[in-house]
Amino acid sequence: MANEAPSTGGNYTLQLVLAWAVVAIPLLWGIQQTWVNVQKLFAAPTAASATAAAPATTSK
Amino acid sequence: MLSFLDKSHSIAPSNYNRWLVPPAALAIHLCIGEVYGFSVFTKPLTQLVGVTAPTAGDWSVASVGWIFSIAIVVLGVSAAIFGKWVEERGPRLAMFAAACLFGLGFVVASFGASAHQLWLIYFGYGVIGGCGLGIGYISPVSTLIKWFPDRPGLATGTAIMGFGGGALIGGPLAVALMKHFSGPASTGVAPTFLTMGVLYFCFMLIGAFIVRLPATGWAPASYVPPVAGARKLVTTQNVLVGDAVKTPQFYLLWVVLCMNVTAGIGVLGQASLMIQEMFPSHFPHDTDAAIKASAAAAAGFVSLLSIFNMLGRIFWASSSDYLGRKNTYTIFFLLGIVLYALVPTLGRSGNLALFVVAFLIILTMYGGGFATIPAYLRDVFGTQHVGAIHGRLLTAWSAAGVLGPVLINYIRQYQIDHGVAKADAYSVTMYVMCGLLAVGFICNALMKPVEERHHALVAEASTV
Repeated sequence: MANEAPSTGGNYTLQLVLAWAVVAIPLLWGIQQTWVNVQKLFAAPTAASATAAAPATTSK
Repeated sequence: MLSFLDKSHSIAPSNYNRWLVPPAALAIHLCIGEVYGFSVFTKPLTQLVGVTAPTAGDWSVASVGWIFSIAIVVLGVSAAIFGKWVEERGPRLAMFAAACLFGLGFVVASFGASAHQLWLIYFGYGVIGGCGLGIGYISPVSTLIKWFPDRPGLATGTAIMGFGGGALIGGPLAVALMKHFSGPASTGVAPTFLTMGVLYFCFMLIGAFIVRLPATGWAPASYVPPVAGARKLVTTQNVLVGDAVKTPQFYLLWVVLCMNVTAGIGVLGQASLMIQEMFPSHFPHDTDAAIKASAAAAAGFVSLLSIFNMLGRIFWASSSDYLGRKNTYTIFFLLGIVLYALVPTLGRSGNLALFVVAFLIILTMYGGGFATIPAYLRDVFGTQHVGAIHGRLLTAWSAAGVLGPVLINYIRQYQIDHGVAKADAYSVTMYVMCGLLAVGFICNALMKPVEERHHALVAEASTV
C-alpha cells in the first residue's frame, strides 16, 4: 500500500509518555476511588450486622 | 487558529507515532463518560433550596432524573445528525466542538443551579452537553479505526473503555468538589458544575491538539489488508452512510446493539435495589444503621459493576479481533441468556458470590457490546464512513436507554403489586431480558455481507 509508515517510531517518545500519563493518572485515581467503595461490598454482612448489633450491646 | 482545526492541517507526518491517537481519544472519552456518574448530583440538586434536606420549592428526584435521560437521548440523536459532518471536517474540529459544547453545557447548567431554573439545566447539560457527548463519542472512534486497520477492535475498545472510565473519575471528582464548595447555605452544585465545565473543556482540548488523521493510503508497515472473502463479513469496500441505512445489515446491527444495551442498562440502573431485595439476609433493613450499611454495600456492588463494565470494553473488543465480531456477539447473547436465566435461581439459593460473579460477567458483555460495534460496522461497511454510520446506529442506545429501565421498573412494580415477594419480583424481568437477548441472537445470526450494489465507487468513497 502507498505511503507506508512505521507504526511506531519517530521522535515521539517524550510526547507518548506525557500523553499516556495525562490520561492514565486520572483514570487510575478514579479506579482507586471506586475501589474504596467496592470494599464496602466485601464487608457487607459483617459491617451491616456489626453496626446493627452495636446499639443493642451499648444499651445493655 | 481556526485553520489549525481543519482536516487538512491534522494529517499526520510520515513519522507520526500512531500510539499517540489512543490517549487523544481517551482524553475525550474520559471526560464525556462523566455522564454515567451524573447520579451523584441527584440528591444535591433536590436540596438546592433546603440545602440539608429537600424543602418546599425543591425539585423532585423524578424531574432531576430527566437531566440524564435528555443527555443520553441527545447523545444518540446528535451522533446521528453530526456523524457525516464529523467525517467531513475531521476529528480535530469535531473534538474541539465537543469540548466547547460539553464545557458550555456545564457552564449553562451552573447558571441553572444558581438561579434554580431546572429548564436551564435541561437545556445546558442535557441539550448542549448532550450534543458534545454525541460528537465527542464518535469522532475519536472513527479516527482510531483508520489508524489501526490491523486491530480495529483493540482501537475502538481503548476509546470506549475511556467512556466507561469517565464515570469512575467524574463521580468522585464531583463529590470532592461539592464537598469543597458546600457550606451552610449552599450544596456547592453550581460552582462544581462551573469548575467541571472548565476542567473538562481544557482536558478535551488536549485530545483535540494531539489527534491526527493518517494520510490517504497510509497503512502500518506490517499490515496485510484482508483478502476479499477470507473472512466472510469483512469487506475491503466502502459503503456511503446514505446507502448503509438502506441495507438490512444496518437494521440488524441496530437491533443487536439495542437488545444488548437494553438488557445491560436495565439491570445496571436497578443493581443496588436488586441485590438488597434478592438477598435480604446479607443486606438487612431492620435498623437505621443496618439500612445505611446495606445501602453502602450495595453501592459498592454498583461500583464493582462499573469497573467490570469498563474492563469488558477493552477485553471483548480486542478479543473480537481474533474471535470475529459475529462470534463475539454470539457469545454475548448465548452466555447472556444463560446468566440472566440463572439469576433467579441464584437469588433463591442465597448464593451471593455466584450472583455477583454472574452480574460482573453480564456487565463486561454490556460494555463489550458498545466497544465492539464500531469494529463490526467497519467490517461490514468499510473504514471510510464508519464514523457517520456509527453515529446513526447510536440511536439504538437512545432507544435502549428508555426501554431497559422502563421494562425492568414496570415489570418489577407489576409483580409486587400482584403480591409477588420483593425477592422474587425480578424473576420475570430476567426471563424477559433472556427473550430480548434471543432476539439479538437471531439478528446477529442473520448478518451477511452487504450486497455489491451498495458498495461506493472509489471516487465516491473518498468523499462523504
